[in-house]
Amino acid sequence: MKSLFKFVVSLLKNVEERTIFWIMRRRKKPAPSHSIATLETDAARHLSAHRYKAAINTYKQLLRKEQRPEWRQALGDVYLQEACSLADNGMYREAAVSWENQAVFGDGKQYLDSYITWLVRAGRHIKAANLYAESADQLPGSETARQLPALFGALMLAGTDGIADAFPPETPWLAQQQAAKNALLAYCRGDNDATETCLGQISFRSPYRDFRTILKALLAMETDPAAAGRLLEKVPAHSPYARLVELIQMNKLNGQVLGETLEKLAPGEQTFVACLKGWDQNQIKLFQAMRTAIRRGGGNKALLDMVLNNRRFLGEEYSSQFCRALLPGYPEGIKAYERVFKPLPPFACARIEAIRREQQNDYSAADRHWQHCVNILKRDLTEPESARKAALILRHLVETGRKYDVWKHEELFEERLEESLRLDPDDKPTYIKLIEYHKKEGKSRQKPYQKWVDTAIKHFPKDSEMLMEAMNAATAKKAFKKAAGFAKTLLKEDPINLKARRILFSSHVSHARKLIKMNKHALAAKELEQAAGLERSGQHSGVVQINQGLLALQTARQTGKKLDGAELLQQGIELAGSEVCGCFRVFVEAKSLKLPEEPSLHMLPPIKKSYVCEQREVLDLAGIIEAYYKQHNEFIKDALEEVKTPVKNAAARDFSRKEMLSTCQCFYQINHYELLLAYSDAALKHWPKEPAFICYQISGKTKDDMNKVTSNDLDRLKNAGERAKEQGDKRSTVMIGEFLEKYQASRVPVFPGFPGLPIFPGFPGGNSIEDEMERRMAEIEDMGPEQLARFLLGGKISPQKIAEIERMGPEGLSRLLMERIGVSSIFDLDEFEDEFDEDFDEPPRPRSRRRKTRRR
Amino acid sequence: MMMKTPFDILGVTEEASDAMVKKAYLRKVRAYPPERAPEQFQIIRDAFEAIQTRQQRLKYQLFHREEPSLDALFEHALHPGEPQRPSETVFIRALAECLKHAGRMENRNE
Repeated sequence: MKSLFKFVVSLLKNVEERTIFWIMRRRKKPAPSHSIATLETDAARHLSAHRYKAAINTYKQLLRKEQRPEWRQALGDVYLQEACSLADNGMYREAAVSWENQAVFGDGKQYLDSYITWLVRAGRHIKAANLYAESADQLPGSETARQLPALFGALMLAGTDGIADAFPPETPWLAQQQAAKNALLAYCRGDNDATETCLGQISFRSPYRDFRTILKALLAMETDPAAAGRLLEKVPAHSPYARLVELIQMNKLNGQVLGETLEKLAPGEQTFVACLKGWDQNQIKLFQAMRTAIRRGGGNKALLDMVLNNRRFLGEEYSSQFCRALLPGYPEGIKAYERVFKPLPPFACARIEAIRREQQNDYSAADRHWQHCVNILKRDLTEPESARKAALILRHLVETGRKYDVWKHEELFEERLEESLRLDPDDKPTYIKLIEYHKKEGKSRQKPYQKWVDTAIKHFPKDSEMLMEAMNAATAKKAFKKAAGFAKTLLKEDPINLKARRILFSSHVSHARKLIKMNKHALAAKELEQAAGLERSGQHSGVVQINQGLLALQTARQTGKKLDGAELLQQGIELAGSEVCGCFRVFVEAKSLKLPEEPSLHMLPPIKKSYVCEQREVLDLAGIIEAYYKQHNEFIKDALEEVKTPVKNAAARDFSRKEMLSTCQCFYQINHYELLLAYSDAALKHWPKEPAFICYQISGKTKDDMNKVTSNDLDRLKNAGERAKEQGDKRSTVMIGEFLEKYQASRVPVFPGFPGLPIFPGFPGGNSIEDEMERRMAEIEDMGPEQLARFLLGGKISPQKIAEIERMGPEGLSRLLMERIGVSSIFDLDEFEDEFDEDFDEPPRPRSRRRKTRRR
Repeated sequence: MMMKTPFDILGVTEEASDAMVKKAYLRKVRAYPPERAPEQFQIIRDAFEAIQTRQQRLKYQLFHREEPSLDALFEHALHPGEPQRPSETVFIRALAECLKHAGRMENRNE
């Protein structure tokens, strides 16, 4: 028993020890004991890092060690700083508690004004009022302290009970409170006069002065919002009424900004703003519904549902349009839409799908759906605007088709635009597009171009733009009378249109020339008079006077009267600007009229061979040549021969680079190689590396005969071409490129089986000469006229070159042909002359240049 | 922010005639003349040019791709009516809530 007892005791002791040990382990470790210096340092560190709780604890530790006054003061200061920090974060209740804590350690007077304000903000109005009443004279002269009466006044006005009881009845500003209340009541019931009277009782120094300003602003807002705004700006930002001012200023906001701002307001504030805005209850509910939809993400579904549910307030029409605009982005909403409104017609569904595809940048699919829309509309064109809508869609498809490269075939462009005009013929821009399209394609689209111009002018007979186009088209077709008709109409609409004047002038002159050739002199004279009337004073070219002079000569010759056109000719020469220009004009006009030249020459001022044209003369002459060239006049080159010497002598004049380029281009255009060479030689002295001048020089030197082009010329041209490309000189690049192509075209490779006998590319070798010739002739017979012309002329076709061919006659043409097919070196072509005469019809020849054919 | 439609800007429906559109435009221009509100005037001008004729309105109705504007919905739904004076209850309630939510005081510098 004893041993058992001992065993139990030892067991219990063991347990107890373990228990004690366990309890001791669970006990908190005692704080390490820091020195005072360390704690002071820690406290300062916590304070500077705004760790107020830590700083407070540290000071408390210090005070537990020793109750030093400076530590008490410091702890009080920390509590104060904590209070301010809490107040800054809107935690007024906590801020007030912190202040109360500091009052234990301090004198309880610091930041008393802030404390009272915090009490108010924390809803402890009565305590705040009592404290203020007790300690008003102890408060500092801060703005916060000065605002406290206004704050209490505002609270009383806002119906906060118990505040008035805290102040003695004789408190000055209490009396003002009734006046403010009366003013508010009068304003709310709409009695402006009573409001003004009551506001007059509120003095300038009253705590209610800001409230007075606000009421005055509210009164003014109804008649003069700008004045109301100015009054509201007078209320300072720290006033208790500042937020009320913000509410009133929300009256200026609209739209989503207003919605977002309103959402942050309390319900009473929202109602206040709603009143000022004149909203009714439905609008307030709608506002809440919209905000809910936006809070849920604001997606198309949420918006659609919201609008459908509130369509009575929003209006059925508006709601329907709004929802339809949402549907492309939310096609799942179509059913919901159709449940509320009527089912969408097929066109609307197709359109929604088309728009949806466009939003997804799937323009090919959109194209198909739009086309479906067009087909739907075309089923019933009696519906108003169906045709117009269909036309608009087709034009839209053309725009997007090109922009996004939707089509595989360009023909759709024309097809769709044409169809749109069938549906809506009055769309001028569509005509312009079609005309421009065909014009750009050039000669291959000449017919459709003319067709659309004719159609457009029928629809818009007086439209200036269309008339210009018709005028240009007629001129291009050489239908001068037609062009003149359009020009006349255009000048009625636009009397100062210079191009129309020029065209009409040219038309009259061209017609006069025709009439002179037909010996209808009286009519020709009338045409020339009309042409003269179109020239503006000070801008006469002399053409009319020269033609009048030539007409007079012609008339005199035929009637046998004395020649009296000299004066007119002289006048025309003077008007042309210089003797050289004037004489040139006379020669061109005389040749154009196919008049004999000799009588005219006697009347012309003599031009000495040693005469050197002035710079201006040459440039004027180039301008005149250019004008005749545009009129496709065939006699420019011949007329220039008569005056070429003084022009050639002027090549060394001090022309600018631009002037030289344009002059050389002029001579190049008309293939006057002599002048071209003279001017290009002169130009290269100043601009030796200019690509265009190099090309002009070689062209002039070789007279565009590729057989005369040397290898040095080729090298120079190739280098010039590369230089032009580097310089971005497209014109010269193209010109040199064309020359080199012409050269290449003239060079045919040697036929291997027959040394020295050139072959066409692609032709097999190994045949006899006769077989080869037969093959080549068959090839030529298959060529079209244009291709044959290029083959014969070595590339470039011009009216002058064609005229040259006509003048060649059959033997010349055959010789040229033999040269081109490479047999001229083998056969003596003279042996075949008789055969030529039998095989070819002689072309008509001008009377003045009849040639005798050589017959054996 | 999504753009308002020209119809929203001028305050006309899509069925408005040329004359109605022009009238609305002139009314807006009087409210926002170019010398006083150049930016707003330009917006109004652009809107007018977009829907001036029947053809332009049709084009807009057919091809306009932008989704409707929340801003426009707000303006349509919450268009100002006849301003009313709040009742005493509403005014006082608003004032009380304003005082509760008044801004923070400025702290004094230490």
